[in-house]
Amino acid sequence: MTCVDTGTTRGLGHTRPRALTWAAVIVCLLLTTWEAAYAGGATDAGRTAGGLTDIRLGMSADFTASARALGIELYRGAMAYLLPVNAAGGVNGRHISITTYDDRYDPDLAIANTLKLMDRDHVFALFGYVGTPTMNRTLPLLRMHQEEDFYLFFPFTGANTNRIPPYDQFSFNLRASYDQETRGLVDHFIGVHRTRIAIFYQNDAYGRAGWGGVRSALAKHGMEIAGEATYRRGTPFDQSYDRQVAIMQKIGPDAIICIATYPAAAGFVRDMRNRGVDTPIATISFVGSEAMLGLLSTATGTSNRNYTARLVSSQVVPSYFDDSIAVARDYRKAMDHNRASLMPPDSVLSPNGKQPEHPYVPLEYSFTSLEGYLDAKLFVTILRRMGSAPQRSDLAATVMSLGEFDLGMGQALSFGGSTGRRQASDQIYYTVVKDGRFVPFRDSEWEEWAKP
Amino acid sequence: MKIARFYQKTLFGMFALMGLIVASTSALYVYTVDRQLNDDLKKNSRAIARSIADSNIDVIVNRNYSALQSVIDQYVEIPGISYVFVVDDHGDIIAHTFVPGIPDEIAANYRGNKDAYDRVLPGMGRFAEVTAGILAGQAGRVHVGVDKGYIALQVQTAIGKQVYLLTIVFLISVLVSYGLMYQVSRPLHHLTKHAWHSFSDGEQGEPPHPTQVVNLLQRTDEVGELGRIIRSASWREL
Repeated sequence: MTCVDTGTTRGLGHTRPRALTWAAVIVCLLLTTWEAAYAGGATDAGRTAGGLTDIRLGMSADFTASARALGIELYRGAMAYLLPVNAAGGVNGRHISITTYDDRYDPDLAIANTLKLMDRDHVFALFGYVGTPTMNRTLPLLRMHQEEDFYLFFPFTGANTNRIPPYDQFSFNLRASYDQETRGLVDHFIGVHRTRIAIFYQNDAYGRAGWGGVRSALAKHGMEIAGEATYRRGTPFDQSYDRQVAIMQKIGPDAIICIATYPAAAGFVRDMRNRGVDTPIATISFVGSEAMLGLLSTATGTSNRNYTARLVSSQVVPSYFDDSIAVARDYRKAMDHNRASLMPPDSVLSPNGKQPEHPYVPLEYSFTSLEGYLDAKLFVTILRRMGSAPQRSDLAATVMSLGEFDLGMGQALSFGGSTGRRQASDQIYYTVVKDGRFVPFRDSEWEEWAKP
Repeated sequence: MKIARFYQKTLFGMFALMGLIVASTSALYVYTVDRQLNDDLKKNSRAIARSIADSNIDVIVNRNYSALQSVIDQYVEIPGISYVFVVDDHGDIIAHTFVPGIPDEIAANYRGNKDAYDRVLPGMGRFAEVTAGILAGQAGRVHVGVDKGYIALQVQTAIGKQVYLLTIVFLISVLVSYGLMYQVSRPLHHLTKHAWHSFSDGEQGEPPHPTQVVNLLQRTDEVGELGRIIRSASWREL
């Protein structure tokens, strides 16, 4: 902020020169103080009843396009945790809010949204971004603004771009990586003698990240990818995937790993099964398992085929139906209790007031919203460590000092330590569909999928 | 509206000449534009290949495939650039933009250090592909494919506009030429009528109007002179 010189009173007739100068000085001081508070990033324009400012997080995700289920469910899960926290007075008296912008899973929009969140909304931190291509293009912005200490917390992606230099220092992850997910799937398939592994993937940064994971995992066994088929980002469920299926039939793999979003994964599975190919198919966490299951269930209803057999999904959070896990019980309770208040604002879901042709029907529970719930819980844990006057500049040091902690997942999580960990969890969970929902797939059950 | 027969030949000659000009100009235009566009697009695609190869060495060597894919995805948004793929030092394609898969023709022939390929990909079209080495080819190569169909479309669009413009000019020229010819040949009609009337006792059609005869005889050009000679000759005959 620049204070304008008020000039001298010469030529203006000597009316209250000293008063004017003092007034200008006071205005400058006020503006400078206000700007300093803003630049520190501790607070936001909104104020709680106690006079303390809110903590605003910034989220750019797809809320209206082909991957909207992921953005909406991640937000809903986060709000399921934050609403009770705010109702109980917030963190050290400060409420936490999430400012959302729709990027339609488009990297260019994600860049524009990030600039708005940093420069206009002055958010405390970026939170819960969805997608690899969007995140990949956003990370350089954080590097450019590194003096302002903006960090990306818990993006909904397992890509390596924010896990390796040069962008690892601008981000913190809760979830395991795609490399870990694909390595687990490859190891399990090879363990049941399914060694010819092909890959169906979204032809962009997300798909390539998964492709790299599969390739690397196979290389550890001295193998190569048996073949591949791709699709364009945003391809809908009702489009034909016959060309990709034909490629797979030509390859004849023992197993297929899908690095896809739910519409394409569901469409591919449908067309594979329609052609009588029953090769085991695996998806990874980003697919949006429940949204995919919803599409496959709809297709099953019209064709009487079982599209969910021999379908395994890797997850980075535990099953929300596992009552032995404390956070799963808490999550379901929070989702049930706050169900009516969890949706993102209408301004995001209905841009320009235009209602979507097919309004989104929220899921009762999902792995995605559980991840959002855990993201919010971990962020609140960090905020509580920061005391009553959290500053953006203290965020990274606070996270790295967390060490080992427990979110009630039944597993130890950690940040920092001797290796400077910036990814809290390494755990992968495998699930299959039984009785119309995803349930844990135990290691011993993989034997049922052994190659005859 | 009639014009003199020998002027009709002149008019036909003009039209033929005009057609020749239009055809030759268009042919030259097609050749020039096609060559220029081809050269420009090849230069641009080579620059793109060079740019990817030179500015993403760390990404490629560190096998950050996701970041590499983000980079090449941006280039296929450029009109005319159809595909990009990157080959590593082992000869494996580590990032590409093909959907639903790498075409068999490319999978069968992309290794080596060739600078350029001419490709025909079934169902996709004809492509000019240029390459650039990463670390002088030690770390692999970047391949960029340019759609020849795009160039042809650009040429067709440009030539379409050119032909449209020339056709309008041609039609205007025809109308103007026809009008001028009519203006030039009208006194000759009057002269012909005057001659027939003078030498055949009015057996050949209607006599010219007296004002037309007066105007004809007052002309200072060859037509007026010929009119006066005809009048003198007809008097002498009387």
